[in-house]
Amino acid sequence: MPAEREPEPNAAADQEPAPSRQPRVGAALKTVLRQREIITVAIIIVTAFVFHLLTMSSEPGRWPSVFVQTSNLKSMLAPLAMTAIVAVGMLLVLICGGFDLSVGAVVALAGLVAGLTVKATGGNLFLTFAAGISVGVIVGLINGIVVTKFSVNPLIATLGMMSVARGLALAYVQKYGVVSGFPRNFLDFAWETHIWIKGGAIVLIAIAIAALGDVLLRNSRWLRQLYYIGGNQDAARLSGINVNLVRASTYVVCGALAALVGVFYAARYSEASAEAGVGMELQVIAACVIGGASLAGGQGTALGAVLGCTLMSIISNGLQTWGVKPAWQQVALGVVLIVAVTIDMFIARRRSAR
Amino acid sequence: MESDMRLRLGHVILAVTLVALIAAMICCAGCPKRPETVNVEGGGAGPATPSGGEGAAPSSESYVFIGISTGAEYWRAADAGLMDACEALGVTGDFRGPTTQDAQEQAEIMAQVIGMKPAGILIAPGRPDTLTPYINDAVEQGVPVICLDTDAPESDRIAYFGTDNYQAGRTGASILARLIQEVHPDDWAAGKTFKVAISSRPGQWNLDERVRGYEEYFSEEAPQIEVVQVFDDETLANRGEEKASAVLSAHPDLAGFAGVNAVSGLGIAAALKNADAVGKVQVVAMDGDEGILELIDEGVIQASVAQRQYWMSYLGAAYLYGLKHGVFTAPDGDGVDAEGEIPAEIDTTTVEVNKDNLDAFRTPSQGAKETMPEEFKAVIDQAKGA
Repeated sequence: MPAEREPEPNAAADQEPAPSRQPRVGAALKTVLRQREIITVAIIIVTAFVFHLLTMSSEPGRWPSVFVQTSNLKSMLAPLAMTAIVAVGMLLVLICGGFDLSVGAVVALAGLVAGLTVKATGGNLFLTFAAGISVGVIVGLINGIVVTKFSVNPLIATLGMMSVARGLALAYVQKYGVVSGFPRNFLDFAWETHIWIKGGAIVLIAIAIAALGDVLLRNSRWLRQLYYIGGNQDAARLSGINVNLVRASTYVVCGALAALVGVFYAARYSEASAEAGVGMELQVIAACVIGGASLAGGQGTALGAVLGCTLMSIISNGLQTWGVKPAWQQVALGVVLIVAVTIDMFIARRRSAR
Repeated sequence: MESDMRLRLGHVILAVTLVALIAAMICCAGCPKRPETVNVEGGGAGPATPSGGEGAAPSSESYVFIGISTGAEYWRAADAGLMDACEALGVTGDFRGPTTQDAQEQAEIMAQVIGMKPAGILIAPGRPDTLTPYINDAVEQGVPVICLDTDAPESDRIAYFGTDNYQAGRTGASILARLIQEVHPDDWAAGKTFKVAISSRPGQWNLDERVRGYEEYFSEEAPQIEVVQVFDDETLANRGEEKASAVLSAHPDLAGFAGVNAVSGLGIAAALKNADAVGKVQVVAMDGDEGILELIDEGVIQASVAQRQYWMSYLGAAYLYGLKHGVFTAPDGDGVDAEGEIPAEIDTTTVEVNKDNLDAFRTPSQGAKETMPEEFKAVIDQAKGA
């Protein structure tokens, strides 16, 4: 749903004395509360509080709970940043009514290409990122063309590219092995401390991408077209939007963002392999949906996508710090996912019915 | 009508072409195989073998190795062992497997491979129960099977060569115990308890065996060490990092991490780097993928338990070849390895990789080739009937 705006004050109100500060603050508060993301924020706060209670420590002198420790919360940030960046890309595709199942494979393939480049150039970060991201751009272009020009169902088209990209990565690794032994500056770039977070570069990049994506989705003409296309493709085309171009470009951006994450992934874990990112596509789609996107398209915000990722990260970390056995963690994650989305949908439906 | 006639003619041509293609395929399937190229090299026990690769046509005698997956770095060394043995023997080696660790997919691939009637099959079954019927089928059809790396003990496979996963776990545990003792000598002597956590994929049979090895070693030989968590790293570095970080948060006094699959070490290392706990928590990883070697070099991981996959497939190919050419006989199950009898089980053991010896492991097969025991190397010569 596009962000709701405050109704214009009517002419009669203009004649009244200037509104005092109280109503303006109240109006701003109402706008914030009306946003769909508030529901997700509420769920996040409640979940965090639950884990806070569950992991309370009785030892004196320690933090009140294991979950709410600066070190624990900070440790979630970099992996969350990686997922969030991919999620923003996936969100663009989802809003247009599409899917991109190839993101995980792109993470792996881009990582391999970047790894090879950084070694071949002796640590030229610019070329490394350029090479890695171009892998994502190429895959995205192919996805975009196949989906728009050949009208192939996006699920199938991107599934096919996922297979191709993963296969290429595997073919390389089978012959030459995983890529490692990166120049020091590449590793340092990924691990340097920024804003008191080790490996903070990716976190800063994620914040920038999420903020940019959110602002553009709410305000820029180019990205608002995504919602029209997602809402009614034919009507969008009739109103003069170049539907094919816009849809294709969402796949390109999604691929590029996944590739960016792939480069960081290789640096963070000191190894570029063919197995990186397996299963990421479904996790990211789930996060977007939790954050308000619809699988049918036409809905969703970047903020929501990031919040969805945050919720999943919190649940995963919380369950592990609480000490739940791995098999039951999977069950719990699935249950919480279903419950969170149900609550989300329920509240959203009630609100729009009002 | 003219257009109708043209339409019918086009259809006829299409139909005839398709039938011709099908007929050609049926014909080819019935044709006899290209005969093996044999150069007689003087007399001698057993059949002569083609001279190794020099100008001889590639042999159609092939040995296929089916791995648990083809994606993992781990299998490259196994592939290398197979290829080196086959090259020395003058036969063809083929490495296949599912791209992911899907045992069902592996079973289908096995069915295909059986249909190709290779001279022998080497397989690392992803799930012993799933693959046992297929192994039995192969044996019934006259294709001998040897299990490598992971065993299917209930099947009709003639032998198992591999690391005992349980023993590998025990080895890792002994290394971790030693490391913790070295870093905390006074506390150890005072009888203090130390906490460790293990990164694994619970439910994957060979990994569960390794975890069992870790746990039993600690309870028997180093009861001061307590395994507080066995967590699921999903064989992904980023998920492993998230879980390892959470474990570290819950147990800030953690003394050690163990990783039992090849990727576990990567996630653990990242978690430690993130928490500025490098060197404070001792890490024992699994296998010698390049990424792990780098981290050992960096000092984030202290040691890794490397298996000898190269030896497994090298021996497997050599023994199968010898079996086919009448030099060896299948084990008769009496528990005694008679002369010329293939051993029913060979434990290819593990080796500790650490900062001192990691250079030998940079090439997957280099270290294995250099350290292969003489009696293993001798098997190839025996197989050739030399």
